[in-house]
Amino acid sequence: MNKFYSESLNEISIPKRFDKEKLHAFLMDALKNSLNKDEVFRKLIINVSKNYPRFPLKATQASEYIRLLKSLSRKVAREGYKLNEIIAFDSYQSDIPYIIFSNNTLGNYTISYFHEYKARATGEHFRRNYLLVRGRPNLPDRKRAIQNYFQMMKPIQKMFQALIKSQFKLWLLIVLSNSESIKEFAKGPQFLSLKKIDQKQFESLATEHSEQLENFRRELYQLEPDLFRPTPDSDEPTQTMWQNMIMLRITE
Amino acid sequence: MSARMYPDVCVLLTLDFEQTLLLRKCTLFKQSIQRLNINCYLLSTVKKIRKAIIEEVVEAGGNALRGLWFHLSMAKGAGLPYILENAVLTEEDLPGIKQFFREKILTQQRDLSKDQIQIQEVWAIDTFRNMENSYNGRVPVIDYLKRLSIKHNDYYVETKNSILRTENDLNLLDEEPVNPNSVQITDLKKALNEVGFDDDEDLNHISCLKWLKQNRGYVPVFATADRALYECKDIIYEHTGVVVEDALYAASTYKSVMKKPWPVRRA
Repeated sequence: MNKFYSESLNEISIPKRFDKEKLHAFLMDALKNSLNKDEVFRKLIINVSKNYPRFPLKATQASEYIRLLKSLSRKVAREGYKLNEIIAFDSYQSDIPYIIFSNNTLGNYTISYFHEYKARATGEHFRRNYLLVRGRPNLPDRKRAIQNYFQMMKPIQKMFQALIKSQFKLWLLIVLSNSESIKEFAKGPQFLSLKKIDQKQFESLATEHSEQLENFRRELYQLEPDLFRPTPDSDEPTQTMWQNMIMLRITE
Repeated sequence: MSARMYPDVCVLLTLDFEQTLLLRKCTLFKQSIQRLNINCYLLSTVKKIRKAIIEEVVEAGGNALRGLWFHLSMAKGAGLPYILENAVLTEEDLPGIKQFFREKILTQQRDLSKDQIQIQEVWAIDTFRNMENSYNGRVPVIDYLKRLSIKHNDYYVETKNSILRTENDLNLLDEEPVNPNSVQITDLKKALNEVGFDDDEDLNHISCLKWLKQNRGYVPVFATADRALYECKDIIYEHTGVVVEDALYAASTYKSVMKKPWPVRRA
């Protein structure tokens, strides 16, 4: 995250009242604090890194890695839901185009879809090429299975990194532009005003985020269309509103 | 010369939105496309409009929510969010909400905007009715507003997912962007105006299809669920050579177009 934060901060131009180094230190501290507060999550991250597939990998370790990725995927989905509740509330106290908040929600759902995909794809790959290999698999086969796993994940993982960075940079610009100090930034400004944000940069980051999101979702759909299935418990009044609004527009 | 199928915005939008009005027609179109394994191409103008419509719904819904938040803030919390945190919404607050939407309608000039606000009013009341039973008629204002906003964003996600499903179901291939202004359709516009048809968005699609026919040599079959456009099919064909077909028959028309022996083009 150290590199992620520095890159993000370097790729946007932040209001002059903030010092990049202090902000970076603050973001790192905030991350450490939140991990310390959430013992389960902290352990999960440590264990994922302990069981990360590297040669030689024991079968028990591979199974454990798959199990941990599943737990991580569930955790990301739960945290995403909480974040979406915050976004829903923030969207009221703002005059920033509503689509920015909606795309942020879409981004959070997409992040959790990716983690679900990663857990499924990893499980499938290691079961087929590592755990269920008949007889005593020779070492080169096992080594190749790990190499192939990283080869398989590399392109989508790269797109995922680009997506989360663009989402973070946009959020950073909005919140920093509406905060007078690091203290206010930490607490979250009371109102998110469009006027306080540098328009040129805002438009460029919003477009970048929207395009990264679109490209990533299309790629992920090709890999795992099942993640994009209809939600069975959609809210009836909202569904009716959307349907009527769209019909009204296309039949006007 | 080869034929190409281009479905329009109505079909694309209604396929996954399960609109009862057009659902059957759209389902039949989807099934025939899948059965006959026909490739469909997406016009950039259709894609652009679809995106614009969805964003319009997001913004219109969002504006209604922000207005409602302000109205309830003033009515229940004297404009102070911390008072609003403990406020509840009951049956007695509904006339105030009704008044808020009525005033909003009065400020609008266009019928479309007035209709949109009426739809949003139903949404706001319907959501309250859905929640009131679980809260014994006293719904916390914050929970109510949160639910409206969360569900609005969730349905946006659902909409975006349905687009991916539709594109996959129709085996929809992206066409390169076509600028509708790159070809003149003045004569067609004039002829259509005479019969009372002046939909700019549809005219843009037709213009792009004419460009594709002229520059790529395709026979474009434009599948539509729009009755008004379909009724102008003869005029459109006469002026542009573009085949407009009802979504119900588009697949079979495409097949018959493919069978026709097309004249060899001279250099």
